[in-house]
Amino acid sequence: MENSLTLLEYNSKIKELVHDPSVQGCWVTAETSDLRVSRGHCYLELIQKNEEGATVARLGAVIWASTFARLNDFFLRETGSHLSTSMGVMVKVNATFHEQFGLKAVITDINPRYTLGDMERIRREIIAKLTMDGIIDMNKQLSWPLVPQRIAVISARGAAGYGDFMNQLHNNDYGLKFYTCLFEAVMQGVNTVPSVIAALDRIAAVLEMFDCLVIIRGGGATTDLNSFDNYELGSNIAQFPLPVITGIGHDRDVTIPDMVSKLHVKTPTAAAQFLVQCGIAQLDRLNELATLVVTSARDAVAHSREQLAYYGNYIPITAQKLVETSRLRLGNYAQSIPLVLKSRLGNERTGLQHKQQAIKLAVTSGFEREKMRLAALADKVQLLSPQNILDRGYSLTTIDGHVVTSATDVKCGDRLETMLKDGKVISVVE
Amino acid sequence: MDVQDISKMTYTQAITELEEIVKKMQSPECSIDNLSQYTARSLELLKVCKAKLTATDEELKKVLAEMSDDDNNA
Repeated sequence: MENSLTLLEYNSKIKELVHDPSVQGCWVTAETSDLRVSRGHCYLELIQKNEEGATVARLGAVIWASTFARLNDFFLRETGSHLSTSMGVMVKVNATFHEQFGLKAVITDINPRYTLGDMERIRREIIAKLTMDGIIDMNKQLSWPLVPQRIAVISARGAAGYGDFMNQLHNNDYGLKFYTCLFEAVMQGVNTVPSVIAALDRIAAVLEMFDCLVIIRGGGATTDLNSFDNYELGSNIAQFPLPVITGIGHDRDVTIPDMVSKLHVKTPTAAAQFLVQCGIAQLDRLNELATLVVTSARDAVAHSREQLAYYGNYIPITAQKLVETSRLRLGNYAQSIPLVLKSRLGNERTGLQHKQQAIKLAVTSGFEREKMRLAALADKVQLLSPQNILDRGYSLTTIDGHVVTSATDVKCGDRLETMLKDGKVISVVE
Repeated sequence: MDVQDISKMTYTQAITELEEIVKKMQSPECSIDNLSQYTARSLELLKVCKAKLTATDEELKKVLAEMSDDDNNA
């Protein structure tokens, strides 16, 4: 039989090895998991994940109560968050090994700057994804109703912030009425995201009942904000169909929901003040409109009165002017008629003169023409006269005064009388 | 003017009509004949709008109180 050790002996050897200085007082970066506080001691798992998200290393860790009280205050002061699950941390650890309980890392210090950087990296990644998905500004693009009066509230019942909101809203000095409906949710710790998303779903089922949604933190100023920096929550709020007002972060931190909501306010009171302010703006508008109605009516009546007065004055003046104008026009006619007549007569006279001239000319030329025609005729007559023919050597024979033009007209014994240029010859036919 | 039943109007509908009437009343073409009609309607609309802002709608309040997780909800 080979030499063997009891488990206790073996564990004691390991314990010796673990005391090695190389694993004592080391700064280690890891992610927290399964963190719980019991009797003042903080128990947690330190894990490391690969790029695919699979856990590649795991170590149980503890912060003893005496250290935890101090570290937790310091961490909260520096990061604004409690140390919690799923947080990137840089912790100083001492490896311890207990024969009965095994290996454990005892955390003695923490570097909050590392966590801040890690939180910021996670936030940046969420913002990048929301931007890439094209939803980051969706809620911002919704428009406000004129008066957001019906308000769905996601908060923790009985929390100071919720009380402040309700008090500020319902006891406003202007008598503005608001209708609120609380959809309770856990506003800190690991259940924040599923709880708020469940509340969002409940509101989405009765969407038409509300004008807007207000998400306010329940607790005081130093609540754990880290749990709000979640992609799912950001995505749900960004795509919510009602305008969302968030009052989650505080002066120093703006959470993912604050970034994607329509309006981010610093406190629940500020959320209530905004809503009251919307109502006041409408009251002011109504007062302004009331004044406008009165002044417009008064102006319109005054204008009509002025118009009447104007016509009252204008009509007699116009009538007088009309008479005056007509008289002037008549006078002008009276003057112009003789002138017109005179010029008309002158024109007629000239016309007549012209016509007279034309007639004279026509008559004269007519006479001339006739004279010439008569002369031509006289010439013709002259040429054709019997005397002219006799002069040219022809003779004219008659029997008993009848002209003889044929030999058959003559018989024996007829007495012919022949006329010549200068006398007549009488002859007897044989 | 297409006169809608004022009691069934939303705040937005009422104030939109009110603003249109005021615009008409301010216009130089506004006839004195329409003036009293416009004034009466706008005063009615003003009253309704103001009531919607400052008078409690008991029915709505009751419905929302029943829906609310807060036992002390206003």
